[in-house]
Amino acid sequence: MAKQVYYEDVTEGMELPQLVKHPMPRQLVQWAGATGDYNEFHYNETFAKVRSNLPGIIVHGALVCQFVRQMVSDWVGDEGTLKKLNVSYRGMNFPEQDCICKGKVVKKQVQGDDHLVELEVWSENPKGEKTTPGTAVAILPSRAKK
Amino acid sequence: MAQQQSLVTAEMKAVIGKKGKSVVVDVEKGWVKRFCTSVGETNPLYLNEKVAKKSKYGGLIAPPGLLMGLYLVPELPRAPEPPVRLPRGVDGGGTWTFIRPIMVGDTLTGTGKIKDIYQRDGRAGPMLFSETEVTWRNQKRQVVARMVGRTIRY
Repeated sequence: MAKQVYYEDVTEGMELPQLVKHPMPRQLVQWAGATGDYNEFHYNETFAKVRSNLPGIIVHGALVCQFVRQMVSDWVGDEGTLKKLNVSYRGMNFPEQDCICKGKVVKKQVQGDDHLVELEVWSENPKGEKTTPGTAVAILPSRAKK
Repeated sequence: MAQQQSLVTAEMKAVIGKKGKSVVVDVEKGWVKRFCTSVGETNPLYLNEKVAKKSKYGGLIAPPGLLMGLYLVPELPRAPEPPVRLPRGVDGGGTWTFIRPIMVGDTLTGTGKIKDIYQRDGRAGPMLFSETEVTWRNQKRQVVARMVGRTIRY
């Protein structure tokens, strides 16, 4: 794990470390097994092209959402807590391609005992299209409270 | 110009806000492991008992995403069929609020309701949005998470 980030380390506009995933079809099948999402256009190339009129099999939007969530979980670390995540599935990611998760701090504020950061988060496909734009709220530990 | 047909029927309006059946899930270590493998994450808080015990949680927790993977649970309520055939359905995303940590070994009960059904007219023609809200409680009846999922038919 990377070293713990504290509220005091964060500035508005700061970017989160990117998380780059490269999902293979095997990973899509693992996701299907873990969640029960057996929609065939996620693992059957013929079905995706002929029945769903897609260029090929596509990554589950919900899995891309987990990649984005993992980026935030990794960043907030063991002492931080993810409180809220809101995403829209707008575009497609394809397997065997990079899925790049990015984020930046939009706002920081103290509310009661909580040191909150509001984030803009999203994933991109290799064309640079935002496929899963969203927002997140997390609580970070404070050095003052240590 | 002919008026666009409303896809939101009286039957749909009647189900908004009504509670559906509950679903009970056990947060098993094996499920958490399978889930983490499928996402490709190795966070010891979810997977390593020794490390998790020393953390502020005092034991293994589930990744916040675990319940986000339950979007197709058959017990959760679904919007009634639209009055015209809308051949395509997609998962539109959602909002997840994490209220308390979910510990491995917890038994969770999710209660769903249709939160809203509404129409938006886009480039691809009329689209029907339905939002399902699920509130998850642990065995101590504490609310651990609330989630709103959006489905789009068009």
